[in-house]
This record gives sequence, C-alpha cells and structure tokens, in this order.
Amino acid sequence: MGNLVITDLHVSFGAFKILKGVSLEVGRGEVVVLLGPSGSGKTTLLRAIAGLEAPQLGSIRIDEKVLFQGDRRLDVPAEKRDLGLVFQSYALWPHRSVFDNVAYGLKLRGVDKLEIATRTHDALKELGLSGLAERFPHQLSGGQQQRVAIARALVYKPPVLLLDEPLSNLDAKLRDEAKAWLRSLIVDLQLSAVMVTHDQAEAMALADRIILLSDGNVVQEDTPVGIYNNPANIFSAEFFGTNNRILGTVVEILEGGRTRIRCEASDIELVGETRGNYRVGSAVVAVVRAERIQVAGAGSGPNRFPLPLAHSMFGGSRWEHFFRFGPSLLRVYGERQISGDDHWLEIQPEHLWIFDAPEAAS
Amino acid sequence: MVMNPSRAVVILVTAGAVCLPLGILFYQSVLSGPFFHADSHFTLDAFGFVLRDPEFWVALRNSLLVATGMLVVALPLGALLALLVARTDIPGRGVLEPLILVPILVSPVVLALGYVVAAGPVGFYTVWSKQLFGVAPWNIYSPVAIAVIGGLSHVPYVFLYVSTALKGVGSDVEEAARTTGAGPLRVALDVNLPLVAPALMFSAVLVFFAGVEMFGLALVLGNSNNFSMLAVYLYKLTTRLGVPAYHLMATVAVLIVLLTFPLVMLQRHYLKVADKFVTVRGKAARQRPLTLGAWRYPALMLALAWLAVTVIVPISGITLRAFVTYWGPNVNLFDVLTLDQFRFVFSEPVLVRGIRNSVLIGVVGGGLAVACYAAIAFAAHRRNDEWTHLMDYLILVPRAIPGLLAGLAFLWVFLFISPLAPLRATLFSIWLAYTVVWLPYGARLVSSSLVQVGKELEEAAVSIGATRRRAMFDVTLPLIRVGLLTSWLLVFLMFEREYSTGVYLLTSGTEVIGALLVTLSETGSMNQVAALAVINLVLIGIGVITAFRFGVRLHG
Amino acid sequence: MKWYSAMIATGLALMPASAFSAFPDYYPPDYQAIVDAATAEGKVVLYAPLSTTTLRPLIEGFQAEYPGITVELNDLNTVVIYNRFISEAAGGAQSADVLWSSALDLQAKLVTDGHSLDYASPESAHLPDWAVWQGKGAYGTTFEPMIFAYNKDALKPEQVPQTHADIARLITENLDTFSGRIASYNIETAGLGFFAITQDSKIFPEFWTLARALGAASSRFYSSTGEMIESIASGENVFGYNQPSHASSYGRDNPSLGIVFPQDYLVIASRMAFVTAKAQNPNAGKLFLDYMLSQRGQQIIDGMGFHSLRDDVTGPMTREDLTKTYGDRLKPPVMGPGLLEFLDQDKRLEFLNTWKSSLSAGQ
Repeated sequence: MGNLVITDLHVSFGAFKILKGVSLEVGRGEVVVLLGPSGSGKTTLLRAIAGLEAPQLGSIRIDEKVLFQGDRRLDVPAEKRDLGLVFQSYALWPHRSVFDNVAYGLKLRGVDKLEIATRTHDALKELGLSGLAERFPHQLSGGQQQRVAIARALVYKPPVLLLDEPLSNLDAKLRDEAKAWLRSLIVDLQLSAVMVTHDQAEAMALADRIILLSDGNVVQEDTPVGIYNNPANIFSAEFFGTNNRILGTVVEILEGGRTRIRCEASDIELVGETRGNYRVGSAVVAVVRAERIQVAGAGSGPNRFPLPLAHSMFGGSRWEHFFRFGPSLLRVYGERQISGDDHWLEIQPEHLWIFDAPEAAS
Repeated sequence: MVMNPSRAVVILVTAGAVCLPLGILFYQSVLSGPFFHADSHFTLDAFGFVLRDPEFWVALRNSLLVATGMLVVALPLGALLALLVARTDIPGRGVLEPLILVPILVSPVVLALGYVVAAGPVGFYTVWSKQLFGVAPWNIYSPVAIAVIGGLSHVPYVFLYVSTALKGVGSDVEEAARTTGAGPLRVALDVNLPLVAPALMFSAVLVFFAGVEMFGLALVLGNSNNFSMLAVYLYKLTTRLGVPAYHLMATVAVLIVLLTFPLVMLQRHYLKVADKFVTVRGKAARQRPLTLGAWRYPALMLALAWLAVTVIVPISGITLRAFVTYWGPNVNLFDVLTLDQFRFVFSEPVLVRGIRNSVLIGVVGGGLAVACYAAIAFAAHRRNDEWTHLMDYLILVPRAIPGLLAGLAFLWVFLFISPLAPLRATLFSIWLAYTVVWLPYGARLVSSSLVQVGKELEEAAVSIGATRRRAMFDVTLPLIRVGLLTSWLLVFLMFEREYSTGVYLLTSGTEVIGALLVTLSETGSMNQVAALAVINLVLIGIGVITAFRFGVRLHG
Repeated sequence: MKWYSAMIATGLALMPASAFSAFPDYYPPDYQAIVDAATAEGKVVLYAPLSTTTLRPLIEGFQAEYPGITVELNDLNTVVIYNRFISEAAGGAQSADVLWSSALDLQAKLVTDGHSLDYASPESAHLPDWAVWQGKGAYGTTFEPMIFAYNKDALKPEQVPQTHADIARLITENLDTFSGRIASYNIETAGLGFFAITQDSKIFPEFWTLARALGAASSRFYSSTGEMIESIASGENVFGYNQPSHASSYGRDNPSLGIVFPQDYLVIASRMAFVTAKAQNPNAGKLFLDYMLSQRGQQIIDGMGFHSLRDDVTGPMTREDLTKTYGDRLKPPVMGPGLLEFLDQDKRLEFLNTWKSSLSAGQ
C-alpha cells in the first residue's frame, strides 16, 4: 500500500475552474474521505487521481512514482497508474461474468491463466462472492454488484483504492450494512483508500481522515472526531451535525481565546471560542451544535439564559426541542420530554464557536 | 497533448475521403471549363448561367413543392402509424411493425418502375380497376402523384423516429390525461404529440430533404412529362450543352449543397433535442396500450391500405413484369408467362458478375464500411476537442451531394490522385464512393449505439489498466455488437439499393446491379431490368432474413 | 425471327478458322505485322453504349478470327463514355483503345480535339464516302434509320403515320387518340434524339409544324430507350416518333409493337468508331476497327440489327437494300466537322428554346 501525495492541483473545464489548487496526502494504510457538497470538486479530484480528468497544474505522486506533474507536462495515462477505482454505478460490464469482470485486470497484466483463476477466486472469496463467479451482473443484487466492483478494483492489489460514492446506489438498510462491512474490509486488508462521498455520516464512519472540500478548495482536513469537534471555519462547522446559528456583535475580546458577544435576537450576552479576526463591535456568527445546548435547571449563571419552548419532536433516540429565540428558533437535543413555557438553557463556552460574519470574512 | 496516432489516421483519412471529392466539385464550379483543361480559368459565369436559367428556378420550385407535398403525406401518416403500432391495441401490432419498414428495402428506381407497370395508364391494376369500376382515377405521372408516392415511401422513416420517441413516453402521463376526461385522440394530440415533437421535427426535415434531392422517382415518373426537379435538372445539364458542362454541374451541386446544408444543420439540431428528451426521461414506466375500441379495425384497415399502395402495388408490378415477355391492356398475362428473363440474366456473364459484385459490395463492403464508420465514431467518442467538432461537420457534408455527382467526383479523385489510380478499375473505387456517400447515415447509426454504452464502463477498464484501445475492443465493441450488426444490415440495404453513385465508376468487371439497372434501362430492354430488379429485391430479402436469424432487428 | 439467327449461323460458318488465313487482296502486304503486334498486346478495350448481349456475335466473330486477343467491353452510356474518356485522358490513366458510340457530336468533338489515331483503314475504299472522316481515322460503322413505332392494338391502320407530314395531320384529326400518348426522345438528355431532331429540322420543311403538333398532343419525351419502347409496346403510348431502328428487335417478341419506315425520307444514324490516340493497345484497336468495317464484321453487325453500310453485305434493310427504295431520300450523317454544329453553346440553346417554345405553342 502506497503513499499518495497531491500538491496544488488545478483542474478546469474551459473557463470553469473546478479545482483551485488542492493539496493532500494519503498515508500508507490510511483511508481518506473527500467530503463536500455537490459541485465542490470532490469527484473531479478523485477522477484526476485516477487519470480520467486532465489537471492543468500541480502534481500527483504515489511513493516515488510521479503520476502527474504539470510543470513537466508529465501525465501518466489512466491505464498506467495501476490504481483501483470503484465507480458510483459500479460500471460492471454486462457482457462479462462476475469472474471475467474481476479477472480482467489480471489478464491485462499478463498474469498466467492458472494464477488468474486462483487470485480471482481468492478475491471473490474475500469479498463473500464465492459461488457467484459464473453469474452475470444483471443476476446480482445491488450489494453483490458493489462487492464485485470492489473485487475488480482490488484483485491486482493496487497501491491505492479509489471509491466514488460507493454506498449511494444501495437502499438505506443495505447501506448501513455495507458501511460496516466496508470499514472492516478496509481495516482487515489495510488498504490505502480515497473515497468520495457527500454523506457526512458515511464519511465519519469510514474515514481515518476527512478532507472537506468547498468550491474547489480544501476547507479543512482532520480526523472525523477532530473535524467534528474542532471546525476551523464556519463552513466546516455548519457542514457537520445539526447546528444553530446565532448572529451577534463582539462586546469584548477575552483572555484565553474567548470572546464575549451580544446576540442580535435578544439582549443576551454569551462567551465562546474566538475563531476569527474580529474586533470589538464586529458583526459575528456563532455556531453551536444542537446537542451542545443543555436544558438546565432554573437559575442564572455564565452563558445561561431562559427561552420559551415553542414545540418538541420525538426522534426515537432523543428529543428535539425548539425554543423561540427572537424572530428565529433555537434547536436543542435532549434526552427527556419537557413541557411548560420558559426553560433555562446553557452553552459551555468551548462549544460556542464565534466566527467572522460571512460578509466580513472574505 | 499529442494525438494518438491511430486517431490521427482516422481523422486524416476521413477528411481526405470527404474533402477531396468535395474540393474538386467546389473548385470546378468556379472555372470556365473542365478543371483538368489548361485553358480553364477562374470565373463565376457558371453561377450566373445557372441562376439566370429559368429552368433552374422551375426545377427548384418543383423540388420544394414536391418536398412539401411529401411532408404533408408522410408526416401525419407516419406519426399516426407510429402511434397506432407503438401505443394502441391495434390488431396485429407485432406483424405490422416489421411490415411498415418494408418500403425502406426498395430502391426508388425499382419502386418507380414497379408503379409504371402496376398503376401506369395501362398498368395491371389500372386495367383491372377500369374493368371492375369503369374508372381508374389516378395518374402516376402527375406531380401530385410523385409527391404522394415519395411521401408514402418515406412513411417508414417518420415511423421509425416517432415510434422510438413514443416508446419513451410513460403510460402514467397518458393515463393522467385519460382520468381527467380526455379521449384517446385528445391524449394523442395533447400529451403524446408535444412529447414526440423533436422526433417529429427531425423526421420532417429528413423527409423534406429527401424530397429536395429526389432523383430516381422524378426521373422515371416526372421526366417524360417535362416535370423537372433539381437532381433531374442536374442530370440534364450533363447533355444540355452537348458537351458535358462540368462547371455547370458542379455549380448546381454547390447550390444544392448550399441549399441542403442548412437542412442538415437543422436535422442535427433536432436530433440533439430529441436525444436530450430521451435521456432526460430515462426509464419510462411500463406502458399499457391505449384502447381503440370500435376504432381498432378501421385503424388496421388504414395501415393495411397504406401497405397495399406503398409495397404491394409496386412490388407486385415489377415482379409480374419480370415474369412476362410483354404486357398491355389486351395481353392475357397467362399467355406470356416466362422464366426466360431470369434464364437470360443467369446466362449472361456480365449480369451474373453484377449480381455477384452486388452481393460482395453489400455484404463484405457493407461490413467494411461499418468498420470504417465505427473507427470514425470511436475517433470522436468521449472527446470534446476541436477535432471532434471538425469530424462532426465533416461526416455530415456528403449528405448534401447528389449520388450521381459524388460518383463523378470520385472518378476524378481516382484519376488525378495518382496513388489511388491503380484502384480505379476495382470494386474498391465503388466501395469507397458508397462508403463516403452513406457516411452521414452510417456514422450516425454507429454513434447512436455508442452513446448507449455508459462512459464509466470504459473508464472502469482504463482505471484497472486497459489502454483506451484495449477498452474499446474488450468493453465497448462487445457491448455494441448488436448495434453494429444492425448497422451492417442497414448499410447492406443502402448499398444494395444504391443506383446513381456507381454509374461513373462502373467498369468491365465491377458492375453492380444498381448501376446496371440505370445503364440497361437506357440502352437495353425492360425485360432484363425487371428481372434484375426482382433479383435485387430477393437479395435484399435474403439479407434481411439472414440478419433476423442472427437476432438483428431493424427497429426496437 | 428466323432470318436473324440464320444469318448469324451463316456468318459464323463463313468465318475463317485461323488468324493466319489470307486477308482480302486490298489489304497492305505488311498487315500481318499489325496482327502480330496486336496478338502481343493480347486485348482491346472497347467503350460502347451496348450490352455484352447485343455485342456478343461481333466479339465472338472477332475472337474466332484472332483467337489471341480478348475484347474487354465497357457498356457505358454515351455521355459517360465521353466523360470517362476525357477525364482518363487528362489524368493520363489507362482508357479505351476503341471508342464506339452513337453520340456523333461527342465523338466528333473528341476527334477534333485530337483524341483519335489517324489510322487509314484498308476497308476505307469499301465504305461510302460519308462514313470516312479523312485524315482523322474516324469511321461510321452502322446504318441505322430513325423510324416510327406504334401500338397495333391502339391505332387503326389508317391512323398510323407513314410520313413525317402524316404525323401532324393525324394528330390533329385524332387528337383524343394521340393526346398524351406520343413518345419520343428527350432531346436534352438523349444524344440520339437530339441528332435526329436537328436532322429533321434541316430536311423536313414543315418541321416546326410537326413540333407544334407534338406539343398539342402533349407528347412525352424519354431519356431511356428501354422505357420509351416499353411504353409503346405496352400501349401506354400509342405512337413513337424518331425511334432507333433496333426498336424493331425489341419488338420482335411483342406482337403489339408495329414499326414504320417513314416513306418520305429516312434520317440515318451511325455509330462512329475510332482508335484512340494514346491507346495502350493500338494494334489490337486497329484490328478491331478493321474487323468492324470488314465484310465479315458488317455482316454480323447487320445481323445485330444495326444494318450494314457496305455494298457487299446482303440482307434486308442494309444500306444497299434501302437505297433501292429510298435513293437520295436516305439522309446519312457525314463523318466530319459538320457534326460539331450544335455543340456551339449558343446555337444549341437557341435550338432547344425554339423547340420548347414550339411545343408549348402547340398546346
């Protein structure tokens, strides 16, 4: 398994810039997930790694092997990159049996027949497809098709496995199973993998590291826990989880990376983490996850304030409460049903992230 | 990026095969005499002559009128038949569908000769009609008849495109209209019609186009009555000034190209719209046929009547003619029945050779042509550079040149491009001319099956180590196998039917039936022409049946 | 018809069996040298608007006489012959050794443009003067009267025109019978038709009356000989004006097709042949030309329905035979620059316009 390094990669289609200088590194045995909304360039990045899109600038290397280097006009064609790519649609060849689909990569590498058979059957077995070798793609279920697609990409042991939205073609229940299966496969086989998804839950479950893309740039990269708990900017913060956005103005910059703001919706003052370059009087946006607001007992204190309950929804594992907060609503996860009018809420300062207001941020 | 060499070769060869003959034509049109004469000089006189010639304008007007007439006949009828067969419970749907395509198999010249024998002033059916009803209220030589026959014989093309589009319309949208209270007719007009509009427009342009360039029908049915059309005008120019006036012929060809190229572009446009419609809609819900109720049998009668007029009348006419020595109102056909004409054809080495060559050029040549079309389609496949755009236009151009002149242009190419000269007297020259003349049609056939192959199927092969070429052979080609076989069948049909392109390239040893039909009807007797025409039909029939055995379908 | 096959049989029987048999005494003493050279060439390439079927007797006769030489016939229409030949000549490509075509004007054009080999055939002295284009090596080879054809079931005997003058008269008297049912060549596309019409216009003083009558009857004009004769034989048309003489042979099997040799005069068409200047096989070409003009060759040509122009060939409607009936009312074409008259563009267009306006004036 190899070490993939991408530096300052630019891809544009005509005048339209898709990737605006992306750099990233995938270590040996590491699973990196490219995450981002549609149009962020994540699929283009994956296809550029595979050699299916032509970048204009930058470089792509695996270990010592340079796959692409813009300034040297070096571009190894897709078929020479020796990577494994799993397509969103699986792209199984309908005219070939499962065996032939999987064996094709070995055949191309001039492996002798006997070894092809052994290795193909091993790969099928590894992926739980034994006994399906002679079937054709249309005779398989969606989950089986996905496994064949992965087997096809893995059979010749590529240094890095690329997966394009591997779970999106499965229905909800199957997807959960496949997610667990895929994670254990990746861990068992110690794969280096780059995976594209737009689903944050999928990304957090499967990734060693998440690379969040927006508008052709890397917005943040970190472990799932890191990126969830410590977002670097408002985009990161709002991309994951269920969030509340609180608009306000800076009242005071405090010691220890804290800032006090006055909320626009009411006269409450709150203290949170300083995550921007603002001064006293600047307009700011504070973000807090719904599960980080506590419904506390009555009584004032730092970062505590009372709000009237508007309504509640039961979500199975938890309750979702909505509080009237000026003209808007504040969303709070809780374990218990609550009733009545006003409740005291509390936000720990480390969970209230204060960013520049987007207009000012740029 | 450096272009891969095989793609460069394909683009270069295609450009050469299209541009050389066309270039000679354009060059010839601005000269005062044959381009190979030293004393020819640059002049626009030829354009002046043609544009001042009242007969050109008459021919142009007639062409436009006939084309419009064909449109009026073919479009509603083709669309109606498509609707009936594709979407209703008309009896015998399964049988009707292949039957409706039969007129595609018959060359216009054979069709015209068949009508003369069957429905001409003393034709079999005319005489019978007069005996039975006292009248035969038609005149196949009138301009109206030419437009009607042209229109009727182009119904299958409209049918093909419209029914394909109709099959993409889900039942749910029709049912939604039915539940709100619309009858079958309203549903057809308000729901189906707008949805198939792009396909309809495309086939409208196609039919109009066919009308503008009509040659065989116009020559046989119109010419003797002084009814001229553009292609016939061009044909007459060959002799009108005594010595063939190449510059004038080339000028008319250029004018025809200028006139038809916008139509080609229009067709291209509608094709794109229609393709978009199909892809956007994706998989349609299972269709349930509309119920016609009391209208089932009248609808069937309409379809059968059309078949009778378009297929049975002319084919029975030419077939009867092939089995009798002579005919006429006072001739009892049973007295003159004979197989002599066929015995004669098969005893005549030239004609036997013509039959053999026709089979060769249709089957082998058709296969090779499809291979070329596939190479061309692949060169443009999944690429979006300026070369692809160039190819895109390049392959459309031959559509606009009449076959007769394309043949002459190719004669020049083979004469004046010295590396090709040794190939002139071989079947290769005819094959190349056919292949280029039918390039727009063939390339479209292949590329339409190519676009159905998902892009990621090829990329999957490339991503695991196959070169693009390898991916093409291992993935794309096997997937479009049926599409390629179908293209082969259709190209075979076109090559067997083709009659005008080969006339100039025909040499002792390279005779083909199509061109022999033209030459023989000028100098020889109609006995042989009729027998050859029937043999031609039989060959085409055998080809179609063989292809069906291999699972190839003309449609659907 | 019996006489036809009998004639071929006789012709074949009379043929010498060997290439080395004596030539007629008027042949030059060194003629054998041409034969030897031709045999070495081994073939002769012929362009003619004739099918192999029609030409087979002549080819077989030639090959019986010169067994080592094959005849490669390209059956092309007259315009294609001209186009192909000049293109091939300009391209320096291999082309025909002998051009043999009924399009006299196009042939004459090729001859005056220097495409013919000036070969004085030893048979020249035995041909009528008009058939020899002195100093150019071009020869008339056949004697084909332009005739009338009619449908016997459709016309009563008294309705069948016997002279050119009859046509206009009978049309006027029986307009219902003739209207839309007279066939002739389309003179814009059929070279033979144009030739015959221009000859008529010069010979027949009331030609333009005839033209108006043809217009009045909405006559139909064909490009294709096959279709034209078929239309008369089937009864679709009842009368054919300016039909080629071999129409009679097409009608042989068809009892409905009647033939009339106009009594006032006969326009004669003839097929011009010459060896091409840059022939690849010039000797074989000369040999073939001489054979066509020879007594044996002419006997076969006569049997093919194209009629012989030699005095010493016997048979019905040879030149010899027709001369007895018609005397100087036979109007053969003179092989010479006069044939170029209507290749002058203005003159030709003027004639075509006059012809067309006369036709429409009659309507």
